[in-house]
Amino acid sequence: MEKKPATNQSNTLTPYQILCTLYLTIVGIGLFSLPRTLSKEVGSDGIWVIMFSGLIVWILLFFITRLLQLFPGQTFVRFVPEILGSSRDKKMGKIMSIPFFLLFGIYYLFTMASVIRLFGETLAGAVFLHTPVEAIVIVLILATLVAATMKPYLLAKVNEFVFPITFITFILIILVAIKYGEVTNLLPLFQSNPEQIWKGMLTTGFSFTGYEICILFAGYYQNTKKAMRVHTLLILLVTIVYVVAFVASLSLFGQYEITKLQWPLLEMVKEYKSPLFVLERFESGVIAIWVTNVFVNVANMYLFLVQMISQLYHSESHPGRKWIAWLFVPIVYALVMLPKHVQELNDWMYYVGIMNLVVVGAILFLYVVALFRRRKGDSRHASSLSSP
Amino acid sequence: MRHLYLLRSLVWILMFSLLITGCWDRREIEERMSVTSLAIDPDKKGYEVTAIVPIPTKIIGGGGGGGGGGEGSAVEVFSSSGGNLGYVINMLNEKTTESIYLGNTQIVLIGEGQAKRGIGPFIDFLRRNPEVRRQLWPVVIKGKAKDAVKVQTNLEQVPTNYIKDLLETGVEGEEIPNFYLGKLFVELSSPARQAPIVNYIRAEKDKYEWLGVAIFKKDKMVGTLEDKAELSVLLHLREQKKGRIITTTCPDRKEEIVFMPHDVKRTITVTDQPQVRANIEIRGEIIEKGCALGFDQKKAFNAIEKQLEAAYEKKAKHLMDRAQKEWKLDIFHFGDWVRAFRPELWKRIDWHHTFPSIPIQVNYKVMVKQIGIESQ
Repeated sequence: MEKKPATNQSNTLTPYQILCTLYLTIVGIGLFSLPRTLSKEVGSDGIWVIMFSGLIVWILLFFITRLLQLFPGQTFVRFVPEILGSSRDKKMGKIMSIPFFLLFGIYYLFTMASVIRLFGETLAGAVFLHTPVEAIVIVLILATLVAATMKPYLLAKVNEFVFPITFITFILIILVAIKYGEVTNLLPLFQSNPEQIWKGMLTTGFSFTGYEICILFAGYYQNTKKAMRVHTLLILLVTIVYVVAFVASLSLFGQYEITKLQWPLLEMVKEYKSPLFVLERFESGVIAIWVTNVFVNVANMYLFLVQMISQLYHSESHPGRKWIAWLFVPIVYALVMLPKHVQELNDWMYYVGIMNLVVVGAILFLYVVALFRRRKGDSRHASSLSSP
Repeated sequence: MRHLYLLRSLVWILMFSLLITGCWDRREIEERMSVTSLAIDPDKKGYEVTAIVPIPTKIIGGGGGGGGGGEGSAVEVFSSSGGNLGYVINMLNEKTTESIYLGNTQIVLIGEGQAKRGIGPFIDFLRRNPEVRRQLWPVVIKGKAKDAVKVQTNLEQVPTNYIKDLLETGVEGEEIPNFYLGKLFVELSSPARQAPIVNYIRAEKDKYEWLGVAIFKKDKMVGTLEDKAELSVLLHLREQKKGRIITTTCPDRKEEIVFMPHDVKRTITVTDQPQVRANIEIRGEIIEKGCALGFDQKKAFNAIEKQLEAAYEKKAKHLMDRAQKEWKLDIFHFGDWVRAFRPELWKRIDWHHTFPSIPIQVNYKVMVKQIGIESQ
């Protein structure tokens, strides 16, 4: 039987680390194109559509957090069999939870693959014009592989380190918007019909995906009781970041131009010209920041997969983790190279988004079952389930 | 200690990954043929493109010493022609020693002939190419653009810099519209705008002169606006920029006064009929006064302000007439205000079609705040 990591204070995630980790899992590749995808559906109504989506996501996360609070100090690998199984037959719960684990695993595999591919396409298309996508992709997979073999609390520290850096981009974006933005570009509001709004909500909903990774990280929270406050703050922060990104780029480009730009935020930084700085071409700096952002983003998902498999086989602290991580390299690479072009990739992104709804639905289903069956984890004996 | 080690190895990997991915794209600065300006003219085959490339050795040698001025040009000129801009620029590679790089391009000079023919077809190339900066200046040249880029300016070794500085100084002083390439893209994308105003420049023997703006209807040039006072009105209405100085006669109608605006505020309202009402509030300074009117009298201020308001309104009236009758084009972006603030009206009418018949009222309110260091 292994040692339970949650008892050791230094191996847990502080509220700030939780915020950073979940934030970087949500905000990643989609940020640069969000203004375009959203504007395509609802035009300038995107401002309140983002806020509304944020509210809905918060409600979903509220229930997920409630579920996590029932099982403090446990990851989903532990509590899912506990919810589904009976106290007499432990095997039963494990068998019942297999489809859930498969769903989560496949979902993260596909999300990771599409994020990595989009990252490769973006860099190859906008910066490294002569570099093959494969090279960029392999480097990202290998780099995240190293990060994913880390312990969750260590990766959280990487997250903590990268988190403040990502906000430099926003300073630049806000400066551009103040200098060149026009109010008329933000109007008119409330012109979309319900169908457009529904599509816009889906689009934004997809860019909020990633928060459900807390079912893994919750096992390492320092204090699960405070999780609700952190999660609320998280959704608030992501909503603000998205609204700022959307409003800033919309004020500069207007809803018609924005739909023509592949990466509106990147184009926006390209317009930045300051007498204060000697340097020009801020986009290279922004891309560097964004690369680290995506790196951590992918690493978090990679960790989810590695952690899930290794916990299933009770080898959390075992050197086997490394081999599990390596095992994913060819699978991920094959998936990454599967879409033929960016258009097909966009379809992928859509299906991944739909899959996210299924994943969240499954988690909420588990919560209902847990409530119904009055299952509750005891924090002091959290790991007792893994032993007979 | 262990996580420190991990972090360190992570940093290494990140650094290496940057190196690895950069390999294919690593190009030293001397391996690039940096084009500073592109001139586009019409040609039998389609376009004639002239690219200006500065010669680094000449530029370093010039400047202060050596008496380098006049000894040959500091720039090399390449030109080629063909049916598409992308194709022609690629063709230029056949003449250059290194491959053409557009990342440092500052100005795209469009010959008047090409502007009248339409700029739409080659805009796509500029949009698509990731090297092209949104901050570069599109400029319409009176006459042929090819001749304009060959001008040897004395102040600047590279003529591109001359035009760039000329425009940037004007934009900073809010006298020249800040119409860079990104603005042109936005203009052509938005159905409510569709009226680019591209800076219009003439080349002289060894310098350039800003003449005004070339008015475009969608992507085709339909005319020019060269009256500086009318350009100020356009700037007030379109960009809320203060514009140039304006002269008007004194209240006694004998001599002239010169007014320099400092600050401008506009409010535009569109009623349901539709009808446009624009109020412009200007604060500024009298920089020259020819008449004997004394500023120690309070009513002198009022009289001069009235006079200036009348002058502005007259110019505005004339400009409105030109826009509505001559060009039949909403150069003021009133359409954008309709789209933003009156969406139901925007849906009901075809703005660009009805614009020529819409009553437009422009009211000026001038406030003289300073009179210089003269007491009278």
